[in-house]
Amino acid sequence: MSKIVSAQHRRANAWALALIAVAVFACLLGAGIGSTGVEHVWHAYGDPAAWQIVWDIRMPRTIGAWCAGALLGLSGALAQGLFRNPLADPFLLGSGSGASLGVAVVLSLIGGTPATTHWMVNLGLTGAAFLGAVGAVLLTMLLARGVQHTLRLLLAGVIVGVVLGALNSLMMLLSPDVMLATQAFKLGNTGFVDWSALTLMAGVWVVCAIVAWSLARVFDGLTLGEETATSLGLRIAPLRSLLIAVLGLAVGTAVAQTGLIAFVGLAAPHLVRSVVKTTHKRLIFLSSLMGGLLLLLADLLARWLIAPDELPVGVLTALLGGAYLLWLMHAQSRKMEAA
Amino acid sequence: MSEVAIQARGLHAQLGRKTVLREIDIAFARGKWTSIIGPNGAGKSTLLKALAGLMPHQGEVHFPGLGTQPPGAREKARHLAWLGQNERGADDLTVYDIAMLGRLPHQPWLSSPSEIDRAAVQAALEMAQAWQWRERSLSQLSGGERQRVLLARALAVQADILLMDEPLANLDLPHQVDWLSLVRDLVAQGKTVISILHEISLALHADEIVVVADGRVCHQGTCGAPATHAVIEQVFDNRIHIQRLGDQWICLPRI
Repeated sequence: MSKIVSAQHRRANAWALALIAVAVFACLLGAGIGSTGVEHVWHAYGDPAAWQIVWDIRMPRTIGAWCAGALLGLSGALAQGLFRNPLADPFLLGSGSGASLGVAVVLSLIGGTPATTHWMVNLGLTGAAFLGAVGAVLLTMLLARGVQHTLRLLLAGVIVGVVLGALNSLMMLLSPDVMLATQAFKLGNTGFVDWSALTLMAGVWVVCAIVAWSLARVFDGLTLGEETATSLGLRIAPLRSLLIAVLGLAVGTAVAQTGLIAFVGLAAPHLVRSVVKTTHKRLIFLSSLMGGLLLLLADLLARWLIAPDELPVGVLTALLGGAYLLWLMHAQSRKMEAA
Repeated sequence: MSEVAIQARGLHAQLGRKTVLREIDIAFARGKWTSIIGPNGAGKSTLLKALAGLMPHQGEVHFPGLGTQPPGAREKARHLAWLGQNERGADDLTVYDIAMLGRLPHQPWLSSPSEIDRAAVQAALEMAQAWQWRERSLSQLSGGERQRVLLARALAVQADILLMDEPLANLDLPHQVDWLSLVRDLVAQGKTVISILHEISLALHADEIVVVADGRVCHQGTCGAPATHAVIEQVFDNRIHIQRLGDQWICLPRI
């Protein structure tokens, strides 16, 4: 039997290595692609300006895109495991709307001038987005009266998302000058990620990945249903609370640094499942690697497509993710028809 | 009664405002197969869940085999295996992975499966005649085949007590007969099996029958006792009839 298990594990490990290798290559590529061209990489050592572009702008942005994607991929695997629903999205508990509202509140308080935008980027915006995301998750849990009932939690998440979205719109209506900056946040952008933001995301990713990995067996148990999982000695309620906290932390951190980036969290676990069938211990890790790579590649594409300008990466992930999900739906319906 | 595996006193449970269990006192014999039968909505599944501690209830459930103190969650999970009605499993996991979940109560938190775990899973899959699908994912199996995998998952726990709610769902007749043989083997090993079965003719092969109706235990007795048959017919509004055929009892509809 050990041969069968190791074959399955080998496949998962091979995919992990491949995802890491492609990500490293894409990171090197990311250091060379920008609106100022690729020539700066070759002369970076001898040219302080070029060195600054490559080291202080492109590198943190590129690795930061991977980290944000890795956090979203991890969150997607957590959300889909927690809710036992392959269509569960990391933003399902209202974290996306909460983050947007947090940004809108800060913007309306300090105004939306270029000077304040710079201040926000460096300090206020990320904190507000993080607090908004985590606050929305807590509000969802409060409305759902705990985490015991999955359906109640899902409904509460939808309600919180809708209500906070409405408040967000109201904020923009009351302070039209912040509309542009809030909209930019909603479109998602990796351009503001610096070394400190990258360090924060990397640290949170390590913590979240360790906690999620150590609790992976809870997800495997939950696939049998909550009753059976409980009968296997798993304390579902406290473990679920902990995992939701991890989910909130991961999503809040990613959204705070890069804005709302759609579909990465939803698509990454799907892509992993389409190539390897494995337990959650590996699925969580692979989804994280896949999410990182997806956002990294999307970011490169966003920078390259209309250079020297660039597309908001969130728009690109939404377009590509939507197309992928449509294809997935079509493929599944064809499979069902064939069966 | 011989040694007791599960003793329940004053079991009372509600679903919303509806009372589904009413002050039930019952004991289940160790090393026997007890079958719980009753009409739809009688409270059979609720009783089984309350015994397993899987739903909120009033009253006490005591496991004499685990000492006098209430057992911890993992200790209880090693002592008592559960196979739920309409239990699902992840389509992505392989049959082997699903069966290995039965070993969770035995495994330290961060450790990998041991050789003992692997041997237990292999034995369970072989007992459920599912070993040949070990590399397949659950999505590639039929309903009956899935049910055998889930049975293997419960067997892999290697618990002293097995609680099974509708374990014969989706199984064809030959595999229902195989399940009967399996239960007999388990009982011969000293295990206690408590099952809910809708197929009364199969339930009448158990060592003991518990008849539940309207949230109460109406009767507890042996399968061959006329009093047991009378109560079963009564709770089904006398629309069924139990009679002897060869060396077994069968249940027929009164048409």
